[in-house]
Amino acid sequence: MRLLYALLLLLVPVLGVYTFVTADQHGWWFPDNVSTYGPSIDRLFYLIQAMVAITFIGTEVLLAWFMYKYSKRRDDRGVFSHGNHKLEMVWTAIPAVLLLVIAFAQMGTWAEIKFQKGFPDGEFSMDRPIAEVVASQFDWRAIYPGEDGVIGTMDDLENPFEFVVPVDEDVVFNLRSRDVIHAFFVPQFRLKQDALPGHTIPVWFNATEEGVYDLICAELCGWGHYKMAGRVRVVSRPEYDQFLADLDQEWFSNGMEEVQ
Amino acid sequence: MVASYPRGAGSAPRLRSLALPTASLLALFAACHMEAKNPTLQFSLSTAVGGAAEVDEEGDPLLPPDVQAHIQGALEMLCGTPSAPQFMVTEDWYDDGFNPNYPQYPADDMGSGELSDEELEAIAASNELRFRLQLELAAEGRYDEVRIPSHMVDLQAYYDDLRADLAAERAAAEAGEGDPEELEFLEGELSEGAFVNWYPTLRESAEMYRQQCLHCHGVEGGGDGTTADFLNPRPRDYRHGTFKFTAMNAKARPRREDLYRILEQGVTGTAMPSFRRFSRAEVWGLVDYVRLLAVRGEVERDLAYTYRNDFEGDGVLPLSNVLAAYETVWDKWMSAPVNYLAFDGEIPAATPELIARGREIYFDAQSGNCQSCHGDYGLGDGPAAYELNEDGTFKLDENGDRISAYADDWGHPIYPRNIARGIIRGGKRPIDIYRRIYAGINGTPMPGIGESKNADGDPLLSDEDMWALVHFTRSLTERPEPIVHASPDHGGGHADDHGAAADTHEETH
Repeated sequence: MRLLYALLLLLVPVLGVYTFVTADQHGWWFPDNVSTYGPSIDRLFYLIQAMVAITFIGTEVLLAWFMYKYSKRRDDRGVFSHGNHKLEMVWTAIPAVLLLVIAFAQMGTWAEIKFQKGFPDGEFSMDRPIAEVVASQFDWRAIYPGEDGVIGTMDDLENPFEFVVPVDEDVVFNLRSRDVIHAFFVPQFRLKQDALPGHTIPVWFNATEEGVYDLICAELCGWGHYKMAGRVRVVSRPEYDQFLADLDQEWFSNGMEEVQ
Repeated sequence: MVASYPRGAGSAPRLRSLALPTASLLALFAACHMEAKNPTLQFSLSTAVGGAAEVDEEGDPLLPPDVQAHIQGALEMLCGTPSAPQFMVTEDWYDDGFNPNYPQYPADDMGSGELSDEELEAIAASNELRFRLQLELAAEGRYDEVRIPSHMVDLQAYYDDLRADLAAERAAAEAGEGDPEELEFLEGELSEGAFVNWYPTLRESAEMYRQQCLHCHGVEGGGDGTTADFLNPRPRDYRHGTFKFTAMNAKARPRREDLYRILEQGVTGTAMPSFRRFSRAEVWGLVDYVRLLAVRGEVERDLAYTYRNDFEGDGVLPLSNVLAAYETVWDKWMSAPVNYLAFDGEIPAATPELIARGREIYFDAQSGNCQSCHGDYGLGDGPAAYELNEDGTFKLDENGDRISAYADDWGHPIYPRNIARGIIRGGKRPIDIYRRIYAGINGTPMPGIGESKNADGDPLLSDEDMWALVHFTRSLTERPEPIVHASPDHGGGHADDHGAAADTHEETH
């Protein structure tokens, strides 16, 4: 019986490793990365993944073994143990060192993505963002600054649901929320940023491949959170300019083109 | 689990202790694999004011049960049920070849011809994206592996038929009796036609509505779904046929394009999101179904009104009266495009001079008079919109909020828009605001002043005046500060003229 329980427990690491190994075949692994800083995020992920995997397999095997070895036998008596000082020192020190390793390993990546003094300063910058992405319960909309390049003025152009950006360019946008906390998450960009009501948060990315990517709200924001989907469309520069021109035309239309 | 048991009791108790968790796990797995059964929905009669199931103060129905049953039956005949929604085709329509169930076909060929050729092309292009996974498989001839989204029940049935026909045709071809043209047609439909030319039937749209809209807008479109109580403002009740944000002059029914635009854009500042993640055909289908619910609700109100006020005899209304009510409602919807409102000309540029002129009209009690409701600063706090005490101060409720003086057509208290928040529900485009000011907002006290006349019978506002007012309204939505604040104390008109009102920008209601 105790062997059965120990083996049952051993199934947990075995199945865990199995799903990990076969995840890629099932399409359960990461979506393709299309962001310039994606690889360094992935490297960090794999570093932590390796640490966790070794710890997980080691502790699970040990647990299964303990379960077998120390399970209650008919005539055993309990053994009193006061603990082992050395062992405790070791299992405190090792995680502490690992945490420090992670803390130092991530600094460069964090600085690259989040530090505002390192933000791109080309055509789009913190002073002249490409657009403002506004999250509200439960949709996304992109507000482009229009001709004057300033958001919040009369020539702004609003595009619900879809945020269109040019490919291979450093794009800076402002993230805002109208009601509660939301989070801008595009898995392919390896980019996740909370939107806080009352804050205007600058965010940047550089998408390396044209395509349509799902924009997901990654912060439980209310009953409609599950359907709070948006879309980021990455297009070539000419297509982007055309998109803005079309949006401008629609925005300042006098309605006559709809007369049949 | 480590509970003590008598020594020497053998291993039986251990096995028993396993039984409960094992059984629960099995039950959980079984529950996960059970087919989720869709509840069969039924349309019920409206209990709202003017509805057929309205009750008086004592809770007694205003219409006797047999009359209610008759209305229920008539509505089912005209508009079907949630699982089989269908407009009844009257004899006249049938003779003309008109059939509102199929907007994609010409109006004289069993359709209603409400989709232009360009729109049909756009739908086909959008379908190619919507069905790209299916088209990839079908292009390789792997028809059996094609999976069709669950709400497209009629497409599924059509596709199954095609597959069966193809199998039969191939068997016939092997026996040397096949028809090559028929085979080619079937393969063309299976690999492309069925998907590219797909346009949802009302039944498919009803299923889509059930998944996406019903939880707020309710089974009958009464704006009384389960999540509706959590929303402010409440979801639209379609049953009046009144829609607020349209491109219509006069209090007319909206065009299908207006409903499409609302679905595509969402309504900012409310819980109505954009539905652009769905294909064009799917969104048009929702428009069709919303129209069915609106027509059903309008006919219901019409019949209930007739029974209460005009109907003398006992028993039930003759069929001809029911059909007349149905056709009257339909005529309103079909004539909607006549009332389309646009501006024939170039929109004047928003110069500071024009904005300043708009500001004057905003405050002018004889023409715009906007400040009486929208307030001196555009904050939606004008005295005319609220209950006042005798000394002219606002009456306050127990929460310290001002009390609205008006209700909208649906019986909910209504407040003037706080323009300075920069959230304009009906759309922030100049032409959207022009339409709001010109034609007013359906179902609300917001009046249209586009066609108002002064005492001499001349138009109150010229085209330029209208645009001055539109641009002034738009300037109020600017942030951090508008170019010109609406403020009675200011000379107004220039960019540096905004100091005094800057502090009043907090949300007031």
